[in-house]
Amino acid sequence: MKRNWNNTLLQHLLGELPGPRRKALETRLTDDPQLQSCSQEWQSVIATLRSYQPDFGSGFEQRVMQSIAIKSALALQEKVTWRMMLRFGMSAAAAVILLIVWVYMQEKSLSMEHLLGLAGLKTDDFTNLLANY
Amino acid sequence: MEDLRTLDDGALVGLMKQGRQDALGEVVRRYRQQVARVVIGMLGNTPEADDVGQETFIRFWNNMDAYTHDARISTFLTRIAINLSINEIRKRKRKQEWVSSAKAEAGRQVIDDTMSGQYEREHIEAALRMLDEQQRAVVVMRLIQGYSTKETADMLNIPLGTVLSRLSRALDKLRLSLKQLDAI
Repeated sequence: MKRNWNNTLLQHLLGELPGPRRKALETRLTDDPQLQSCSQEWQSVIATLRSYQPDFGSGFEQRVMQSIAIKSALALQEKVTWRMMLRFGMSAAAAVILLIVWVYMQEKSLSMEHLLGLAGLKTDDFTNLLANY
Repeated sequence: MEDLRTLDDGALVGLMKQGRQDALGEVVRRYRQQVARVVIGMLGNTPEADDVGQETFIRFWNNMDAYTHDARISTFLTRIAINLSINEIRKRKRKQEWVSSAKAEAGRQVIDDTMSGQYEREHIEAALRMLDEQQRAVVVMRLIQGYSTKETADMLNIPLGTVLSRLSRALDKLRLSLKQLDAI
């Protein structure tokens, strides 16, 4: 019950209480000294809070602009790095695709041996190759 | 060159969308106090509050393309500021870093000491620190920023009744703490 009157009182102090309920509250306020005292104290707190005017320290605008400049530079750097990596990756992928196409055209096969250039080689070939050294 | 101070918010946004950083500078000048009320109200007068304040404007700048004129700049900035402040408080909790009063004192150095009413401001900030994060958010939005109860509910994504009940509990706590601090 008290909580209901508290909310009604609060709405009244905030100027948001509709007419009929305001009249009921005003009657209640005259009959209830405790609610009246609460009203005065809340009013005082609200007035104190409304006078609260904090501000950031001097040079705040400059700090914001500097932060934006730094973050923009970092973002640009990140963008450039990302683009370079993307280009490198795409070049590598294109090279692999070209290799596959070239191997297929030459060998008519896409087996791993053909792709690695080891097709047709025997163990002896390696032995002979190593024997030269 | 045009005087940016004479332009309205819509024109400034237009310039910002063209990449004009000087237009952002003017937005910062116009709305820094509004953002400060949210951020310092939520986080206290600490170096983190200054960082979150900067981050609010940086996010606004970076999300310029998403910004439409449906919301006022002040509302858009307040939404960013309150979300970043809540995130910062959660981050602090996760790290279990309690901002000691000594650290808060050190942080006050970032704020302009020459401003009037510093004594009263410190009392209000001390009282706000005694509220929990949810109560502080409604107090900052409804009583300090001056949004309506419905706007506060919408911005914090909570029912209207919850705003009122959190506010009344917060007012009771603030009444006691401000009395102790001789601020009312």
